Amino acid sequence: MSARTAAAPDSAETVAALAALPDQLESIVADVFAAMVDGEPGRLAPWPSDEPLWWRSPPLVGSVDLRGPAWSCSVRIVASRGTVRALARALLRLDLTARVADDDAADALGELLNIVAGNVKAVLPQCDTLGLPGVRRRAPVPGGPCLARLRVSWRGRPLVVTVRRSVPRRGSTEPTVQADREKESPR
Amino acid sequence: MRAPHALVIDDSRTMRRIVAGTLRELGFESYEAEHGRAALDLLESGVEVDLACIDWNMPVLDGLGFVAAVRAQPRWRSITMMMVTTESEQSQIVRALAAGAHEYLIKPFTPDAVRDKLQLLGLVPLGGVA
Repeated sequence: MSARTAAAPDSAETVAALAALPDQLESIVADVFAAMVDGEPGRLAPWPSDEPLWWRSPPLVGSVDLRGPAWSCSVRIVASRGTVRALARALLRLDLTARVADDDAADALGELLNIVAGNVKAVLPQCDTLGLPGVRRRAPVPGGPCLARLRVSWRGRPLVVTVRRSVPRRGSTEPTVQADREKESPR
Repeated sequence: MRAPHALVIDDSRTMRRIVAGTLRELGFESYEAEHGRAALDLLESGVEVDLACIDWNMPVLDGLGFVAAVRAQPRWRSITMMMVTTESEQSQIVRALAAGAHEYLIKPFTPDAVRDKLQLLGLVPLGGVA
């Protein structure tokens, strides 16, 4: 039996914002990478395949909650450990062969996620509190209903950014994600 | 001549290194703190800084709390405070400025954006380093 409660319908403002979110997410991620990671625009491209990405080993999954009085969501970035190390080198303007400790790689992914999520928050009405990012190594679980997904190639490496809605459990004020078997698809 | 000193406050090591690296290019020497409480501890220990670059969302004491605490102390009134944060809504910018921050830089930013803000604040001369 579902433990979900019936949620109030979204406001017209929220409906419009959610409709625009996929394009907004693409623009936000492009801006973040251009300013902070690459120092120039145009280094991201759509990932060319719909094949599963993480079958070889569990990726790093960064996740942060956006909470509001009416509804909540989570923003997630998923990438391989090698990709996250490369991201850390790019963020810190390090040499391509520089060693990056696991902690530093996780911190870099968390900060990248924090910047993306903060800018997502700015385009979502009534979603006004940004949590602190967490990074774990695990197989990505589907989570709640997908509001926007970006599957991109950064310097030839796959990277997935998603925004998923959270649904409050009955008798709980904490949002949680609902099971969803939605198939991942490229943008 | 003494180089200007900055205090970079962010719970992300990565972001502290990015901001401190950018400031170094502009002639600053930087201290780093992982949250507002650690930053206040540094100031209370006698560290003197000209500029504080402050993230908003941090554990223990957030950036807004740090700004309010600094503004409550007359001995620290010469510190220029710049929020460096993803909180980009107009209401948040107004809150930070009302609490006593002097400038506001939204992440993501470029090194040029940091230089431009510090020039506006008079901490970096036009076309040069501090």
